[in-house]
Amino acid sequence: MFLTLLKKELFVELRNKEVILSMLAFGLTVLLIFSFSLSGNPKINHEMAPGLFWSLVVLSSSLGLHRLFGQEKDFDAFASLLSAPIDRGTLFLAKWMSGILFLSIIEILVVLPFFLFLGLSQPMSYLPGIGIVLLGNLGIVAVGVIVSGLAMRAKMSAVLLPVLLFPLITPLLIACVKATTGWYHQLMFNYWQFWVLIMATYVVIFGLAGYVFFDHITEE
Amino acid sequence: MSFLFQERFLRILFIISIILMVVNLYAIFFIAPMVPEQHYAQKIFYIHVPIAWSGFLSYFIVMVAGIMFFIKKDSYWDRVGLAAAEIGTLFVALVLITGPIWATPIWGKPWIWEPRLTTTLILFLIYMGYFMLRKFGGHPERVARYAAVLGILAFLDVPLIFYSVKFWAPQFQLHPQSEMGQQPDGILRVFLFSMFTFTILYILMLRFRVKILNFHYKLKTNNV
Amino acid sequence: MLSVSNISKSFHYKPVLKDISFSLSPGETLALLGRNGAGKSTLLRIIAKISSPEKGQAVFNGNNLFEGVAVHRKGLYYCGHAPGLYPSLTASENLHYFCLLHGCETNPDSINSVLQDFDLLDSIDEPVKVYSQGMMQRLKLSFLELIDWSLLLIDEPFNGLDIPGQKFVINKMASWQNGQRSIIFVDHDISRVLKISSRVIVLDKHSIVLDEPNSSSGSEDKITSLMN
Repeated sequence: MFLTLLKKELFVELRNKEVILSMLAFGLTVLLIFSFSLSGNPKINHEMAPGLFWSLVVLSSSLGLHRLFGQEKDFDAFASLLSAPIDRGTLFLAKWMSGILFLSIIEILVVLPFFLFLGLSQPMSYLPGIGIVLLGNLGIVAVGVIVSGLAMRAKMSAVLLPVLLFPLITPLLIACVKATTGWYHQLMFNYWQFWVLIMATYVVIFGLAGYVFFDHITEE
Repeated sequence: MSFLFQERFLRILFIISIILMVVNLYAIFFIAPMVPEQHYAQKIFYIHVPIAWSGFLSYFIVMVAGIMFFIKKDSYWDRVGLAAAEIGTLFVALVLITGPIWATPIWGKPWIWEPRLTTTLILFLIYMGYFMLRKFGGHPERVARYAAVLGILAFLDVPLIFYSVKFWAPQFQLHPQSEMGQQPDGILRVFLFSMFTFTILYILMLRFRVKILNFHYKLKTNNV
Repeated sequence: MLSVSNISKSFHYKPVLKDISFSLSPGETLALLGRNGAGKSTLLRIIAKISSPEKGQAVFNGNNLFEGVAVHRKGLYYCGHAPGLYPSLTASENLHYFCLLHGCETNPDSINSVLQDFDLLDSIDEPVKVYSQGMMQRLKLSFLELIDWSLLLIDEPFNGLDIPGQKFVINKMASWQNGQRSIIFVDHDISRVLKISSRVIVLDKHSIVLDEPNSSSGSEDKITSLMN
């Protein structure tokens, strides 16, 4: 059932491109602003790159997360989904996984311009960086799906979503930036393993919370 | 107003907390010994810490009320959660005001990313979102559920926020770290008395607020 | 088959449903009548577990609907006011996915033949968002030919349909009712309700004011007087 739901999420998004396009366009625009608001000094950019990267990710994700339930809301397909004999936890997992996939696609698309525009040097190794980004995505989207569900039926959901999302993910964001800095600036793993631990704890707590609470979040 | 004092317990608690607070203020200003290098600035610490404690206690109660709401499915627990969230946010706002007042003369600048203060700030922001969700989330019966979820999530976030801020900038570990046990007896006794006083005050405020919200609820459901 | 007890729900502190209890046996076609705002749609949504009641229970085929696992809802199909479909998917894609979600396999041939039966074959490759209201209504109902259901909750099935469309749905409802299934539907047209239902419940002021089999001769007068 999970795979059916996931396939449906991806298919709907492929047809519609609502989430991905909004995130991509917004992400590139923010990148432009970043490039101009910094002095263009490659050394400073190198120093700030991890923080800038995650700011970019968080800002663009909030836009995509806002539309995560968009296709379900417009024609009330959500009612059909809720009344179908599917566990609400499974609904959450499918949304979570598809959200991570969309966010990862955006990151892949913006990472090249990110390095080019800010004149950044290549990292020495890729694998740890990919791992950190994936773990970060898991956390952001877990909270994102919960918050998007809370805001979905509200007035002003576009405002409510970032107002709820950003403070809740601060610990994750700090950990993401620290771990990315450790990897990108080639520090010993000992120095930043703590942050990976924080990220993992965060993912576990909010993943479980989403799985458990989605029942209460989705119902009218 | 009179309905607030119908309960004997609350009448007694009200009088007790007035007496305690007067004694507490007297103790803070006239009994507690001066800390030489901080002078009067140190006095705010007897208010700041108990308020912070009550604020966090309040947010803990929001979480407990959220859990109880899901177990009992009774809107009473939603009102307890709302009352605790309101008072908690009031206290946390006072912490964010008294912190910089103390820090300005002692640290030389009003704001430093110190973990406890930062955790308080982030919680304050989460609760801004909480009240926005309450206001714009739709009909109150649904919002009650949403608020319960958010109250639980917010408190689950606290240890993560604290540890991530703590190690984010270790150079800012300027919060008075000294163990209270090592403080002179005079300071410790007054401090503990102030903690007690503010906890009693908090319980009184919570009871009053829950009573008022219960009354509102009865009015709205025409059940007076 | 379905037994509902003491369901209560309010919106904005105003009760919408107060202690609603009834039970339904296989073979019944139950019409839910009542003025606007009487809580008919809310009741259907609560039984379908889209909306959560403040209190009350519902038991479907011996399983608790509100506190059990999702599989307990198998066999229950809800069809609301809104299309309840993905606007950017085509008719056959929507049918395919929702059938899978209800645990039923489909193949393109059966989908095509159902769409032909419901007169939707012309716009089979168009996304649902360009459909007219009547087409949407027919598409929603075409699910019922593909999935395996025993309880249908349907909110105003005749909404947006022209006269031939309404006739078509009336015939369909009669053909679905094979004695094993139950149907609860919401409608406003009393004479139509009397023609197709086997039992009528009237909701007024958030409670059930009339619940009787649709056979007694005075039904129409009684219902009409309650509805006015």
